[in-house]
Amino acid sequence: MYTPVQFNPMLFKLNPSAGQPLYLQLMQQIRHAVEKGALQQGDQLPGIRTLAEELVISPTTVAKAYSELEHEGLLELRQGSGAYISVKRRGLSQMQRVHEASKQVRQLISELREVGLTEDAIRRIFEAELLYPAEVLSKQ
Amino acid sequence: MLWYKAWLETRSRFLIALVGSVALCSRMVVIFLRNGAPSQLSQVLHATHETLAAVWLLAVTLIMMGGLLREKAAGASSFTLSLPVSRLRLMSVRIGMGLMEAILLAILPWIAMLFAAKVADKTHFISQASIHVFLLLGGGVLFLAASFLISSFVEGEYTAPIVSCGAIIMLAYLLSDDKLRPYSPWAFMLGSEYFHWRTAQFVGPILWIHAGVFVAIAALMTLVSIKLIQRRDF
Amino acid sequence: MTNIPVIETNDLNKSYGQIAAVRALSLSIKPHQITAFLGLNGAGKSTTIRMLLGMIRPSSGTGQVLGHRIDDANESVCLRRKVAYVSENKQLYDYMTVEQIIRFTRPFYPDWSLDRERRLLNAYELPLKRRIKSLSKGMRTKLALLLALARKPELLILDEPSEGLDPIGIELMLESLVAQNSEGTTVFFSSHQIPEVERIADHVCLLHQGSLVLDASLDDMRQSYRQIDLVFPSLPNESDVRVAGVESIRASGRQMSVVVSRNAEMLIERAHDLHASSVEVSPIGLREIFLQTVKGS
Repeated sequence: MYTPVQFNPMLFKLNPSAGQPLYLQLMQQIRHAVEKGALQQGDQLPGIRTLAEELVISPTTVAKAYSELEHEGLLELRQGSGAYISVKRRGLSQMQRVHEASKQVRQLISELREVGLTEDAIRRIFEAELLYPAEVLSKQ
Repeated sequence: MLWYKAWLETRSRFLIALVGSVALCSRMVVIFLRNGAPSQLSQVLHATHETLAAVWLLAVTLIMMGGLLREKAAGASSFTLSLPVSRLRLMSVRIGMGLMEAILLAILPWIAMLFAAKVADKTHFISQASIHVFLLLGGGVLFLAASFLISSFVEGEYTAPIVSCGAIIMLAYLLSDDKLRPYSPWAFMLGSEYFHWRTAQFVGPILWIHAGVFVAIAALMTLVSIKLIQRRDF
Repeated sequence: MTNIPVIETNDLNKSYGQIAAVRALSLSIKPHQITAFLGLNGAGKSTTIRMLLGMIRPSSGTGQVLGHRIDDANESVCLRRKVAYVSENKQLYDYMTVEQIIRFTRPFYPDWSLDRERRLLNAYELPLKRRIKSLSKGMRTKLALLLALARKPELLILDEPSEGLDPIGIELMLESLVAQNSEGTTVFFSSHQIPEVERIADHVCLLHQGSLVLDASLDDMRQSYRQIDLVFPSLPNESDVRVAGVESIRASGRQMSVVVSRNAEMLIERAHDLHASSVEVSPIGLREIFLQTVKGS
């Protein structure tokens, strides 16, 4: 028996000084909540204004995050009533892929640690390598 | 609501000046009559008027205290200037309120004087009162405008009225010379040219042109004040 | 959805004698966003805001706010009716009570909201009958904020809004700005408090010594600004490293620390070409960007 719940937005933790736009951070946290099962099909997220005021961040940020997630198919924005989680088939396999990737990264990280690299060093290598594909994608 | 603000801003000063001059003038009339000198009521009233004129001048410097420059010293000018009103309107209200209060400060003490003298037939003295009030305001308007002008370029919370006082005293002194007396607004206010010194009866024709000139100069000073404030950076 | 700038200036200048307070400022503030006007004390932020509101006359240049010219006295009155402003010093009329100044201010603005007025009075706990002269600095600041926030204006301009507030007051104030913005009000506030700006601003304009040295969206900055720490067996010339996007270079020993505003990948490629032995990329916060930009100019 499934009952939709009201999600407590205080569980979102955004870092304004990180090198990542807040709307991307918010999107990740919402996706993560869905992966963890804290948010399920049919659950309602707070409205843009409510969430912005709760987290004390720009409404434009929340609007962007919601809009992107709607594009991805994770959110359904219903006129007048709010944002609802809608985990489509495509979304599920995305979650599975993320789950698999987590396992792979966990493995790689433990190997790198054994070689003697610190956490900071590992993080920086990932950052540097991630930027290459970003440039390739943008050229397309 | 600008009138509301102007009233809240000036009411204490105005009421103190009003109560003060009413009390002072009434008291003077009573004392003169008790002492029996001068003997005629018209002389008593004329003599008291001279004191009233001096007190009125001082009161006017207090009343004309204020405006954007004074607010700037305290910091509130930013708020006033952010209101959707032109600087012209702000100043017009201040001038208007000042004028009204100045007029009341001329009329009400005279009414008090007539009551203090326990005159049975007041109508007899209304013309004398009216002429005196007219002379007071006709000449006084110049000093009123001068105070307004000074408050439009002297900065500081209390500096402007002090400078106004000083300027008024200096002006009155400079014009007390016999040769300049006919042109002196202070002498005009006192009415020394129009009242026989012994009988205190109204004598000469009123030189409307003098009053006209004073008003014109006052208007000019007001215009300059307005331009000064309009052009200033806050 | 129109994107006409709510604030636009064209080569705005203000000089006091020899000192240039604002130089050739060309701003373009987008509607419906929260834009922060960042800069050190004395950078020219307050002067700019005062020019926008008709309190200071520009030495040269033009500007418009909500379509109204800033240098025309009549248009300035129209503009101020649609703009809610909180000044830096937040001073009000000492001789009025809290109640009196609210009663005084209300009729000037058709966009006044009695509902917001009531809620803010409660939230700020302002004593209605108390004379402003005897209010504490924090209370006075809150009253000044209330007089602007109890409205639904098209544009909100605040000059150092958190000055004079304790942390709770700051939190309430930021919440109010967010609430105003979510109802369509464009917010433009000047600050030198980086954390507040990072939290709620969509866009940043950085003013330094009167000039606009940075005008970017916060998201773009977060995505593109990077600090890249390089180690070389032997240091190359700085000119070889200076590709497009490099903002600053600090070199010592075998190390070089580069801040880029974009094209980090290009720099990394160049570093590899120059045989760097170590390339470390890390994000860089607004505080660092601010200090770098200000020191570099």
